[in-house]
Order: sequence, then structure tokens, then C-alpha cells
Amino acid sequence: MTIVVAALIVGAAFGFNFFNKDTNVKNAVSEVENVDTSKLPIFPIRGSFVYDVNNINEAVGIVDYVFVGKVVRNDGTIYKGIITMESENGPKEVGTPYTKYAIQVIDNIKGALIDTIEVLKHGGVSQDNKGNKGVFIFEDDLLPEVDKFYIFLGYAQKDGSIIISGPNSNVPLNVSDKQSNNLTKQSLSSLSVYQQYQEAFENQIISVQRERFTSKYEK
Amino acid sequence: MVTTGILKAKKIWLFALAAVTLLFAFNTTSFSAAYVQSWHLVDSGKHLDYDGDSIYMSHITTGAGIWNGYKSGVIRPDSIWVIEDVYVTDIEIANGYTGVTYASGKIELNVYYLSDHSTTRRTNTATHELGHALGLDHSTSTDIMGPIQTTILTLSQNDKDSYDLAYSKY
Ligand SMILES: [Zn+2]
Repeated sequence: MTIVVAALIVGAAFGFNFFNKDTNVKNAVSEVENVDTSKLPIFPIRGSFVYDVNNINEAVGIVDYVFVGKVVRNDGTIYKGIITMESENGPKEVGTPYTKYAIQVIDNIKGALIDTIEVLKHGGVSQDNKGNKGVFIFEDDLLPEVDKFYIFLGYAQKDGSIIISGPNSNVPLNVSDKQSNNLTKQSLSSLSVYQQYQEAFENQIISVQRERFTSKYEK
Repeated sequence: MVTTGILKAKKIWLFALAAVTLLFAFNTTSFSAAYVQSWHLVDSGKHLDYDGDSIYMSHITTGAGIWNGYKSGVIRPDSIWVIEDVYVTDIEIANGYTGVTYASGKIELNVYYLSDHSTTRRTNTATHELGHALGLDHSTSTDIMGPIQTTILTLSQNDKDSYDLAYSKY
């Protein structure tokens, strides 16, 4: 009897552990609605870069698209690469947040994208509902806001999607309300930030050799 | 005349001494500084217990050894007796990063870039990400915790100073 109980306890302990390891599911996706992020604490994401982030010519060289866009909609957060971790409060799901945006493309500096596209911004509201909810964002980076204009630096992915990721991957453009109704390549050229990225494209440095993909939003 | 000459020589010597002193003072401050983040993944027992399914787990083990060489026994492989503090997994994504660490307890190693890299470069990234899990922030290009991947596999004085400061906050 004692042996059976002991075996059950040991079995349950190992079984539970095995079950948890087994639920380390990859590439699962779950979604949440658009959440007000202004009152949430920020948890900076940190990584190791494959290029010199301080060199704008390299920053433009490594991406597939550089374009001026207006944020039309924030479609909430999706979570990729969800794993299950054991925590002091039991198992918790840990996914990587990507914020979905609908963007109106106004001008292409590098690459040629169609007028209305969807992008995934690396970062957003954290999934962890056991601990503190917060905003995950890289250094020198910010989450785009609806109705504002940015220069976006995007990577085409194998699945045809576009990811915006890392420092200065959406650079704010100060466009007045009057200008915003009729933005052309000519009117954009008067903005110093635009000029800076146009020149960076003309002098782009491709420091990383990599397999490049084509997004489903190319013209 | 002679007196003035000696005074002049003395002045030059003092000036030189001051310059050298300044140089050393400058060196001391610029070559050693501590960089820590607002978060870390170390548990209340001052351990970082790792687990994972990354194909680069052996590089993580090497990286743990590099940090443990300075403070022994802090980073440990997860066992059934302890709760994992950090989970190391792989991603394949074009995003400019060889590895990423999140406050939620996950390290992502990016196969998209790392698959073409040398063992040394992969180990640099694995060690660097463990550094973030320990609470260290980005420092200068000659450190393991410099923002850009390198072939450095030895802790610099900055890395050690940053680790000391991070450890004092666990
Ligand atoms: Zn880093």
C-alpha cells in the first residue's frame, strides 16, 4: 500500500513535470484586442544586433523596405512562439508580442509596396497574465500611434508578412494637418528626416548577407 | 635667470604631472562603468535556473560557464527540484537580432542569422543574452554586453562591474 502510494506520488510529480515540458508549444498564436498602453509599465526588450545600429546606412541596407506611412488602425496584439513556463503561481504562458497595424503607404524610399498594407510591429502588450502586464519595447523604439506619420523600416518574412523591428524602425515625421491631406514626394522632400533616409538609401551599406524574402504587399 | 629657468622647468613638470594624472583619472572612469537594466530574471535564491529546447543549448551552457567563472554557481541548468527562471528557445525571423531576451523569462536565439555563424559568434550571442537575463544592460563595443554581436568570449571590466551592480540588486 505504502509502495503504491509512493509510486503514485512519484509518478504524479514526474508526470506533471513531463506534461509541462510537453506543452512548450511553439509558433502558437493567440490574439488580444487593442489595449490602452499609456498607463502600463514599460519592460525594455534587449537583444544582440547583427548590424551596426548606429549607422543609418547599415540600418537602411539590412531591411527590405523603407517607406513613409500613415497609421490607419491598431488591430491589437498577437503572440508568437508561446511556451509554457512553471512559475511560483503555477504554469504561465509566455509568448512574444507583435502589434498589428494597418498602414497607408504614402511613399516608397526602398522597395515598392502597395497603398494599403498590414505590418507586425515587434513589441506590444505582454502576454504574461500571472505577473505584471506591461509593454515590451526595444531600446530607441516606440509603438506607432494611429493617425500619425512615420518612416517605417521593414523586413519581408518567409510567410509574406512584414515585420517592423528594432531601434528607429518607425521614425516619427512631423507633418502638419494642412500638409497631411496632400503629401507628395515633393512635399516630403522638404522634411529633413525624409531627406536623411533618402540619402541613407542612396548610400546604403549591406553589411549582412542573408536570404531575402518577398512580401505579399509588393507592387 | 637661472631661478626663472628652474621655475619654468618646475612648472612644465607640474603641468605634465597634472596631465598624466588627469589622463589616468579619465581612463579609470571611461574604462570601468556599470550598466544595469530595470529588470532581471534571477530568483529570490540568487540563481538563474535555465531550461530550453534551443538547438544552441550547448552554447548556452558555455555562456553560463563564462559568467559562473566570475561568480560561481549563479547560473544553473533547470532540474525537477527548481522552477525555471529562463527558457531558451529558437526563432527564425528577419529582424536584425541574433538573440532577444524578454522580462517575461524567455530568450529567443535567431536561427535565421545564427545558422551561418561560427561557434564563437553563436556563443557570444548566447552569453550576451544570459547577461540580459542577469540584469545587465548594453555597454560598450569591447564588452560581451556591447549591443552588437562580436567574437568576444571573455568578460571585460565593464561586464564584471555591471554584473557586480546587478548582483547587489538581487
Ligand atoms: Zn543585448
